[in-house]
Amino acid sequence: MVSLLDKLKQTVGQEVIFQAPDEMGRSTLRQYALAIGDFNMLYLDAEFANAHGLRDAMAPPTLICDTWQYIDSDMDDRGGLVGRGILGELNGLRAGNEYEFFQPIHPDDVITAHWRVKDVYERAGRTGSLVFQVIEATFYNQREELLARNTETMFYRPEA
Amino acid sequence: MSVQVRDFGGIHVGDELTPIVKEIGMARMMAYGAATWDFVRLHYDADYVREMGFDAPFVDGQMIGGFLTQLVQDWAGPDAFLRKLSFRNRVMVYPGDSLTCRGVVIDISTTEEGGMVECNLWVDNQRNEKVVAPSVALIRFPLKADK
Repeated sequence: MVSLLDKLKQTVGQEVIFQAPDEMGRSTLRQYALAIGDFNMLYLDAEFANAHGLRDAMAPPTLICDTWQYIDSDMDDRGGLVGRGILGELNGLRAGNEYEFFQPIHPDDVITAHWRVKDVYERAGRTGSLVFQVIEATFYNQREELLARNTETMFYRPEA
Repeated sequence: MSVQVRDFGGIHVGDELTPIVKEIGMARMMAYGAATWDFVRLHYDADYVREMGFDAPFVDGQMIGGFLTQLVQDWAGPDAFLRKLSFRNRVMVYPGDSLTCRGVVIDISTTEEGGMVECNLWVDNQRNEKVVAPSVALIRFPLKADK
């Protein structure tokens, strides 16, 4: 039987690229702002954004790092989008994230997302051994401009 | 609605960011899942969650990143741009929790990119447990000549 650690190690170096079928969309920005409860006018009001040097309203920065809107697929029994591929095969818990934002994202941006498994390792935790998986997602728009990078660390409990 | 525009020259190491409090409810958790196209049942389906060995549906950890961004952007003002944000999730967040997000300026520098301000951030729940820590934000401000 393949251990969880070995199974996860096989994912290191694997990359999945997603091309959004459409633009980010203005209502997407408003919906995320509502979900967070953050009604910053930079996200909601193009004129206000213009007055502060932006060409249009900008997306709340973390939206791009957590949305799956660029995947065009149905969902599975767990509620995950089937199209996530290797990213959806395992249910890890979140240890943390590192975000880097290079420029504001606007409603007319069309996203390409590159997801790559960077590392898998085992560490002793307070309640036993844990397996960590480090995944990097890099986001571009239709002009191939670098928008943001999200490095996230998930953890799993190996089988007893 | 008045909006504070913060001047880079007026920021000092040790300045505290204005805290924000976020009340967590199931409706907001479901709204977050919908807004991110993340329909994973761990965040709203109590029966499923118990089958998976958890006590109750819990918050998507990246939602805390959204709250920290609000903390930073509200304090920094609309001319500032969040360049980096990192955080470690320590404690799960459940419906009914009340989260207080705080921060303090730890470094200030001037670079070719602009005026850079680094802050330590953290999030406590109503039991004074550290939900997120450590967390670091790097914020870019326009320099006077940029305006």
